[in-house]
Amino acid sequence: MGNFQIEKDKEIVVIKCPTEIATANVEEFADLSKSLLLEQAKVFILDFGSTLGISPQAFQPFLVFKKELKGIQKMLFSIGLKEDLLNDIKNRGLEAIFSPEKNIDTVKKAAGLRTAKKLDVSFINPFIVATKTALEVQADTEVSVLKPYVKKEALPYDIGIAGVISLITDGFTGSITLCFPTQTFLDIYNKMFEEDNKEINEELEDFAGELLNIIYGQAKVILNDELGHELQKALPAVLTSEKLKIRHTGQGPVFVLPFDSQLGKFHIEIEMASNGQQQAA
Amino acid sequence: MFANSTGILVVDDMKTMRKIVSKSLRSMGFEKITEAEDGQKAWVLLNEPPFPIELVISDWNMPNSSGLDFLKRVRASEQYKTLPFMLLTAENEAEQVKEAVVAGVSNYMVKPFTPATLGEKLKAVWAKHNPGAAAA
Repeated sequence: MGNFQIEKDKEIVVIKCPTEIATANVEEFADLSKSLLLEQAKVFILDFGSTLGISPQAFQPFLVFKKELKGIQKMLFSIGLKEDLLNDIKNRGLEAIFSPEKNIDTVKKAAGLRTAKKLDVSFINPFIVATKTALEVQADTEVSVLKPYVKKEALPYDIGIAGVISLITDGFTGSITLCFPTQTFLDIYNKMFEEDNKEINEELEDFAGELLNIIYGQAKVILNDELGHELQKALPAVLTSEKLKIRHTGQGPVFVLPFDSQLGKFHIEIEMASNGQQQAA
Repeated sequence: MFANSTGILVVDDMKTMRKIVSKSLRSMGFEKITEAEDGQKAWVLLNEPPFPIELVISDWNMPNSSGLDFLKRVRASEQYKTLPFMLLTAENEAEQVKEAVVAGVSNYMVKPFTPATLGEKLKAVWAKHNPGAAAA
């Protein structure tokens, strides 16, 4: 077994580099790189996570490898570079050769590879937090979070107004629906503005859409920035009726996130199915 | 800090959000508040106002002309290039913030917000546009 270890899949080849890369390793890497050029993968990553130093004479084969990859429209990146080594590379003017990145995910992004995230239950938590915050801060309504569950039957109360947003990423499709009984929603609105609306009107529909917009916006930042999803901007649609029936036509399970407040119960329904048919965890 | 007589233009396509912002402003003592539902209507109102507009609070995502489009139009005009302008958005994304800063936004507020947060942001806008003046 050589000093350089290889891990590969269809898209990426990761070359784990040894602790020290010295003149003695030059020939080994030169031979290895020739065989790697035959790989189907488009992206090659030098993993310097264990590497403490590269001797000045040992840079040359990396330059050659980069040039040869470029010639066949393939890319080379580096991850795991320690500060001293990164500075050494920068001082030698070789940053463009090594193309340093933070990790494999950032390499994938830089290389334009799809990084579709699979679904798991952590997906629903940002929506719970965002809903509580939106109602408490913007609608001045204290909210308690009840236990989420997978929907198997209709909810034990009539829904009078619902806002819906489609959830679409490379990894999955689905929807989020914010559902209120009519009286609960009227009471929340009337309390906020000290009004006495008796029925849902256009202005209240607006508010349901805006609440969902705020919830989606807050959750999206966490899901995208912290959990690596790629949710896009989306506009809510609002549905009203005396007894709305929320039927989901997708393939995935429907999670119900129930909430209680001093003005009544309401809930969110999240339907999601992984693209390619895997079900949510 | 802005005086209670400061003329404020609130721009949002959602009537309820305009009501929330205006209500918060009134609770702080502001009396001259006018509203528009998108950037185009806001531009017309800015040029034919019921009273001089000295501060704009605009939503980001709106049909016809977004808050960012409106901000750029305001900053491109000689007359309004230093007009205090605050953007509201439901999304706090770094790229968006950068875009707004480059376009010359005075401050930026993410929904949901409390009247207290709005008050703090207004103080910051005031300080930015009136360096050296003591905040009230």
